[in-house]
Amino acid sequence: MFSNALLGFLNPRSLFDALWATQLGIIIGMLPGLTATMGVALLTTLTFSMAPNNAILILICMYIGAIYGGSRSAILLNIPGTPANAATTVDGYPLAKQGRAGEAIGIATTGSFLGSVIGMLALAIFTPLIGSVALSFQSFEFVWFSIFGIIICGNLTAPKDPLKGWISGFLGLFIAMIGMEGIHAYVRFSFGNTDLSGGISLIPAMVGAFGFAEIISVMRVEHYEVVKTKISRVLPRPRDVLKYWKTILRSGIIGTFIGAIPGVGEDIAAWVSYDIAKRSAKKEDQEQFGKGSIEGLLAAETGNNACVPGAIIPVLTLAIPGSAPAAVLLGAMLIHGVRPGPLIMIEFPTFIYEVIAMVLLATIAMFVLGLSLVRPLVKVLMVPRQKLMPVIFLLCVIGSFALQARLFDVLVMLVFGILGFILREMDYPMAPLVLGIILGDILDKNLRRALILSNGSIAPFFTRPICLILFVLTLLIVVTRAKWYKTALAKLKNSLKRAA
Amino acid sequence: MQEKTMVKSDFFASIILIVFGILIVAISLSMPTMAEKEATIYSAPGLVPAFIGAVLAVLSFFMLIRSVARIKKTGLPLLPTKSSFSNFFRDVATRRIIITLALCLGYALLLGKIWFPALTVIYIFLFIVAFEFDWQKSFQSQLKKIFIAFIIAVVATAVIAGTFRYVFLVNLP
Repeated sequence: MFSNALLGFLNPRSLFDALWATQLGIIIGMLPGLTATMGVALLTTLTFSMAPNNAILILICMYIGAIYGGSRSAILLNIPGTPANAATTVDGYPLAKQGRAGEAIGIATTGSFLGSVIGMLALAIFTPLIGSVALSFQSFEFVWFSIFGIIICGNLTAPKDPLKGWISGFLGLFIAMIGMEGIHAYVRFSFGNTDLSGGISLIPAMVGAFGFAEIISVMRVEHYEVVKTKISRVLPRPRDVLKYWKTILRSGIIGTFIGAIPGVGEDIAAWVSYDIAKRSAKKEDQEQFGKGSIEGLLAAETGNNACVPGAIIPVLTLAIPGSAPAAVLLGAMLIHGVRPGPLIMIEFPTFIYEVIAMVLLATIAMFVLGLSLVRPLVKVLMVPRQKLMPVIFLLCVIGSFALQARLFDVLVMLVFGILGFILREMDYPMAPLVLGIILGDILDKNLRRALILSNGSIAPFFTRPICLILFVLTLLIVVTRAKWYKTALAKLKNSLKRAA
Repeated sequence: MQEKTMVKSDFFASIILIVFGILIVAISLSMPTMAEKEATIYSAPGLVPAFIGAVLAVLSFFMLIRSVARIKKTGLPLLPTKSSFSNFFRDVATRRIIITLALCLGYALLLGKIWFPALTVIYIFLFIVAFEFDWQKSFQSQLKKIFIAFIIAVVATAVIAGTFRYVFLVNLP
């Protein structure tokens, strides 16, 4: 099935689409102020009139290209092009300052390629398996999955203050309640406004939260300095990469696993991969981390790109996104008539293999384009932000308006942009908010359906096997972050030490 | 945001969120239960929003308790002082944010009221000039900058609007 799917894309039109979309993704990822989420959201608008397979191929290429592309500005400017590349700055920029920018870009490209391949293999193996488990999910399981998703996403995206992550998630759940509900078609929280009765569209909200908010953040600083260095050899030596095969494999698995967790995303995947690589490195190598460690750079870039196919796994099997760009991809799939979810293996059995083929094409395109056109593309980073940002805002406006030809969606984009900026300033993560907007409808319908089925009894929510597992995991995450728990645990450890 | 400012903003934010959560619960409970359509109460439209509002209020309450404890610990004044206000508005970053917001909001709110290409050219031109024009230098010495800004505005509008409208067949405002 996979070979048939791949053959379907080996035609001039699809290959050309893969190339230009990946290159555009690399450019968008490179530019601070433009994120992968925004790139995928804006391209969704452009792909309306295209055939579904071509449209989704373009979006996946944009996604993979953008997550990789951010490594360029991370290495040359010490500013991540996308949040996924924040960990890349730690060792990428010092390497550039040492005159090894070309080597750093080559390593980043190779790490991204290998991470994406590892993620793609996991996508191929686990999607059908998870899909068959997801078939046994009923309303009770989906309720707990929604709550668990918010709790774990809030916990991982706001590690210093998960309370803010959870508040952000529940705010997102509330936003999803605005508009017509799905059982009685009753309009909620519209206060008589016709536009609000249609609800808050996901794509304008995301363009605002990740696009306009980013523009405001970027414009607050006057200019950024590109490292003045000659970019020499970009193609890495195989021995330089193979030396760290354990790090690559480990980071790829970590990135894929984190991608599969609802809403968490590539930035966490990169940081966790980096952190674990640092802890696992030999003592003499650990000192290099933060000063231009090849291993550190590889870990970050492998982790973040492995997260992309990982984030697509829950999209296909549960219709729940593993990251913000995956959320937009999910929306695009629905627009093009594909219904991801537990029934995908029955309703669209070949689609999973087509997605795997798309990821493979995008990965190869990213590798080839990433190692070529390096020097010309550096010039893109020199464009002053006061000339670039108004153009990006123009794209945000058109992207938001074009979906339903409503100026209200532009207003939604503005509101979410300002809200996103304020929340970010106050250390509230955006990822749980976005996840909440997506999970809100799932929680709403399934909670009511579950209570109708159980005639108001909450026992099934705690006695069904998968529900019990999700409940215990949710409880564990909440309790282990509580101050009283940490104090009690510290006291227990001390008394055990004294006893020993 | 600095740690001290964060503690104060958490305090005010938690109060706002508690009130917001309670409002959500109140509005949800006032929604019809659809009993007149012989529907079960468990399908009531207000059920899930009430649950979400209650959880939001509880989480915000925990944040309020925490921020009160932190404020007591640091002994910070709760309300901003006159000097902190003026420092905030004198800060270059704040001014840049205000200019960005004013231009972007002004552009977006005038959409549909002024011809789109003209409005877009004016917006891009004003944006570039607002951040590049040096008020300490003479107007004459900056004519080239202004001219380039105008060219960029016209070309960017033509290319982007034209591509979306005629190549991708996307409706423009």
